[in-house]
Amino acid sequence: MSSRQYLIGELAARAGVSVRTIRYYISEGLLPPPQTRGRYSVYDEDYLQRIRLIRRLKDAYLPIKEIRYMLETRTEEELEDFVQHYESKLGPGGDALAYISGVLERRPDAQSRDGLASRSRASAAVRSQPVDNARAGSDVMPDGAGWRRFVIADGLELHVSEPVLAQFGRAVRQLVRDGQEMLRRGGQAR
Amino acid sequence: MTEFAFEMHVDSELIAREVPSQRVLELVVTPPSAVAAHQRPALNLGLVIDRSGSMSGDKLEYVKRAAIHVLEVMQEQDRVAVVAYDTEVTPVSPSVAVTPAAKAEIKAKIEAMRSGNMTNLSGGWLAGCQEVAAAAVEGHLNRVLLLTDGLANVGITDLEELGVHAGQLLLRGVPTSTFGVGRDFDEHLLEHMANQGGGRYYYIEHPQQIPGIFEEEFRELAAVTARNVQVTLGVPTGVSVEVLGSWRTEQDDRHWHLWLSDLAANQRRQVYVKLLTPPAGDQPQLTVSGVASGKGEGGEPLRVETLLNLRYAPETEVQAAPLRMDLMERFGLVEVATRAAEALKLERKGEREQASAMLSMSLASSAPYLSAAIHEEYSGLVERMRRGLDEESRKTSHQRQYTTKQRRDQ
Repeated sequence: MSSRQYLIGELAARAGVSVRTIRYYISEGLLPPPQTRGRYSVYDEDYLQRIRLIRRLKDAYLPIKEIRYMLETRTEEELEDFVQHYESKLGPGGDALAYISGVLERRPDAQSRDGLASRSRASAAVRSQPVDNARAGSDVMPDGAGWRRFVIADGLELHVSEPVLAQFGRAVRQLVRDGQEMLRRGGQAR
Repeated sequence: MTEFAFEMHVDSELIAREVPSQRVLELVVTPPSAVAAHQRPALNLGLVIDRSGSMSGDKLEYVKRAAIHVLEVMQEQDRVAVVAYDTEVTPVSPSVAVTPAAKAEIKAKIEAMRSGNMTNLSGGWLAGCQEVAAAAVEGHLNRVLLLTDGLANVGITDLEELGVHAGQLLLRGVPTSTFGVGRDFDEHLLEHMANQGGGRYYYIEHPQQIPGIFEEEFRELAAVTARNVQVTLGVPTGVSVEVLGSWRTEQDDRHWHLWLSDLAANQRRQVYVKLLTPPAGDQPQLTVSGVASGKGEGGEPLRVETLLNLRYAPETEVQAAPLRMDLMERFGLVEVATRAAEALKLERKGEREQASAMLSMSLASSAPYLSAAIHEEYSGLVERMRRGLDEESRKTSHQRQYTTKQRRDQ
């Protein structure tokens, strides 16, 4: 490290923080108390590096307590690794995306995307819906297990619940055949 | 040309040596005025639309109209995503630049939206946040607009939990505004999400108000001149702090951080803080420091620091000293509205006696600073709470307390 020394005002200007912030960091134990030379406190280059690191840790939304703990327990290289790992994930918005993924991992029921893949994990609340109620919703697809899928054409499917299929099986199959026939004829007409 | 400004005022500068004193602090943040050739910031919006069964009919029609209206006034520099949710989440349109072609396409998709089943508010909202986050660009103004008419009954439904997520997403650059339509949603949940999420909460009583209110939010966003505004108060040891108005706050050691989010030009924010100071030790005064910071139109840092001294004096002198009455009148309104909002929460839970007693007490202590008309209005509310309110007056009254306590009615 260079032996360059600063007064508190110079240090603050170089680090881009206020004098008050530096005093706060010292009072919180994030920085060691400064050496004194005559009537003045002096700060060396290490302080400057430290403050810049603290600011980067603050940018990672770590509370002061956590920062102090990390400064006490990790080496400089470990801290640099941590900060770099964090910053590499950080484009604008990247941080929010990571947060949302975290929420959805812990609470998969918080979001069921409209797609077949997610239907298998449709929430219990939906599963307990009576069939009629589910049908009233225009395109709600409760649990995949209780449903049958009929492909009428590419991109056109009919989804039928088991109870409805049991009751109206013949009519449903007729509907599918009619649909297929209609589309086939429609295709020829064009 | 107004510059970014921050002032701290106090009702009186004297505090008692012998006993604790209560002082009222007024924080005033003024955003810069727009530069002459103001080009509004590029917007990155996520429209999250409830299409649960209860939205069917008028409500959904007006929402569609409002969404299409927002789309119409957006330009090619902007981005928009549209997410619909009922029990499940349907990405109507991923985030795209608002080109004329995209406008036409999204418009058709919005028009084709039908109402569905239950209310997976968290799922729809988080999907909207994902879209906005994924499309975020430095310098653009992000905002998720969440519209609902019902109680969240699928996914995450807890008020506190949703508030925590809204706050965390605000910290990560994705603020949320909430819009409640009709009588069946929980106004406290939507207000809490907007407070924590750094956005604004709107109550939409009649569906035909939807387009107008969407436009209001859009106008505010387009006029933003100070982004991500925060105030940090530093108070000496022994001073206790209460921030009124349900703003998002966080405390670390002797510092209180307040989030005021994005401010439109001329949209001055006034926040009221109650301080309880300790008796004097050997010190002649206490100093409260305040820093307001944010980002300007061009991304330049905005920052103003200020200090406020409170001087210790004998108790008799403190009591005889005049208070700044103009400040106390503004504070009185905010104080009583803050308590009334809390009382409304109790009333909603069926605790009517407690609710009206609470408001009645607050009214008595603020009485010296309130006009006769305001006093009468709140006395009426105390009475009505005792008897119980219907859903519509709950929401109308809550909306009034919300705008009063955050002084958004100025």
